[in-house]
Amino acid sequence: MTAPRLPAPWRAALLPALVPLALLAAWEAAGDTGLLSSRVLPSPSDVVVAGVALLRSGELLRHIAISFARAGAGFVIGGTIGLALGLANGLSPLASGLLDSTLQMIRNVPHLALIPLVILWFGIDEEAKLFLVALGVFFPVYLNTYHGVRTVDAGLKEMGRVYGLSGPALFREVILPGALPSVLVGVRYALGITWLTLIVAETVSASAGIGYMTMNAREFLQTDVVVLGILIYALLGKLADTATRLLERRWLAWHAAFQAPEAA
Amino acid sequence: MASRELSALTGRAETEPAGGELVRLRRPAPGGGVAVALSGLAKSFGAREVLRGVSLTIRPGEFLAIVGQSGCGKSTLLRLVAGLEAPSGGSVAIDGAPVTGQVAAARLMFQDARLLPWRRVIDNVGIGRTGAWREAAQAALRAVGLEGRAGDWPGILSGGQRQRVALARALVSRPKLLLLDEPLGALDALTRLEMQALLEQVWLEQGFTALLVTHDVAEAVALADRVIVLAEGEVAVEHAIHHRRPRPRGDSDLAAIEGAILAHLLRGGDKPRPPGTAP
Repeated sequence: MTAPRLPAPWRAALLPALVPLALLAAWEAAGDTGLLSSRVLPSPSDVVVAGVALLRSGELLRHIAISFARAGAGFVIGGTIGLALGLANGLSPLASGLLDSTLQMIRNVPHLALIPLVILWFGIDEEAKLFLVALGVFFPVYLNTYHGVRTVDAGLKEMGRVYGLSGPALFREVILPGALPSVLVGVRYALGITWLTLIVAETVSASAGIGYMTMNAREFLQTDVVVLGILIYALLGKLADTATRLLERRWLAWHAAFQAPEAA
Repeated sequence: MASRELSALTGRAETEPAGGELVRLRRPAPGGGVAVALSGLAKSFGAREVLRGVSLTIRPGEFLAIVGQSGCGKSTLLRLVAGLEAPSGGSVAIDGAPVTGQVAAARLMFQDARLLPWRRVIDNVGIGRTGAWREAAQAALRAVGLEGRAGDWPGILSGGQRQRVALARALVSRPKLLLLDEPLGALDALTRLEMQALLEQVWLEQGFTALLVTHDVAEAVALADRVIVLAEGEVAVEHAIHHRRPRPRGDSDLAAIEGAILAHLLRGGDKPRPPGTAP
């Protein structure tokens, strides 16, 4: 009568996967029965076949590696500058008075609107993509770092001073850890922007990378490869997000929000 | 009424020797405290005068309490003694040396514990310490009854436990002057009584000079050698309390002193009471 019940952890793990699996099954069925033309949307099995073929030829890994390197380099450059300026402006009223209003003004320009200008400056070389990714990453990291440093509990800073901390020690013990949750929010947001920027930049102008691979496939009407490229972007984005979550769990272990899962 | 119920809960006798036999059974350990002298101490923020010419001396090892209504300048006075702010007039001297900037011999306990949430309990106790501080921190935690919680995050402690950690943090450097800015104000009544007993005990053991700022007259009377009422930025009245230690709860003499101070505070309040309302 009663269905056998899975243990609670299994159910918790399976529950979020249920809807995607159902969609995937419906998609496959629609493709196999000819309901959905493979010109419009190839069935999942077709995408897997295309993926395996590209993997065998080494093409896929080469494109992924190139896109990954671009994302990483752009993220590191933009993130480092954003972190440095965020810390400087958060700590020094002089620096923030000098720079913040200018940065807030530039922030309101969508960075992708600069693509024509960037192409004029850098052509369609690597610099153009790095510049766009770094610019996109800069603002969320800068804003959240600045906000994080500014909102560190003044009571804790005063306590630190009463207990003999000052200068670098105060920064290391109180200000940086206090700002870290906010910085990591900026990092997660910036990772999303990284992939978004890269997709657009590689689609507009590139000679390698996942964006190039999909645009190239479009010319030859290889819809399966186009879908594969989109799925890979989704996967890489998810991977980056998971990496940040792990980082948060490790660095913010003291935070009440990250202590709950251990008990559950 | 409430204090009688509490004294029954804590199992202490309510009746104590009559007023003629006020003796000190225990005195704090000598040599652990500094002398503090305030002369004509004044502080104003903009046009608002918070303190106007406060002069008083605190003997080494004395436990002084300052009570007053909120906004009377008592917290400001504490911050001036700690050297966290500079006075607008007058001076603070510690063991004869004028205070300029932060006082190394002093430790401050705040109303909220102000523990670093990203450091474990033991690291919070040892904040700012260098060298082999771990043993001293462990000993300080033992003194406040929290030796088993050294490895915990502060976030999972109760309010009373957090304030105990803050006390351990203040004590680990063996301060000569402990400044207490309503440290028990946010605790529930029973925890507050426990913490008062703990404070009295460590003060007796270490003999530091203690300066307590509070709006709780009962707490001031229970702990201090001398209670000063601060009103409108000036010392309004002073009560010396020569009473045995550790002090019994629900003592009638202490209650009488408390009543006198309260009466003074309420009379000194600048809000006139409409006739017919109970104070």
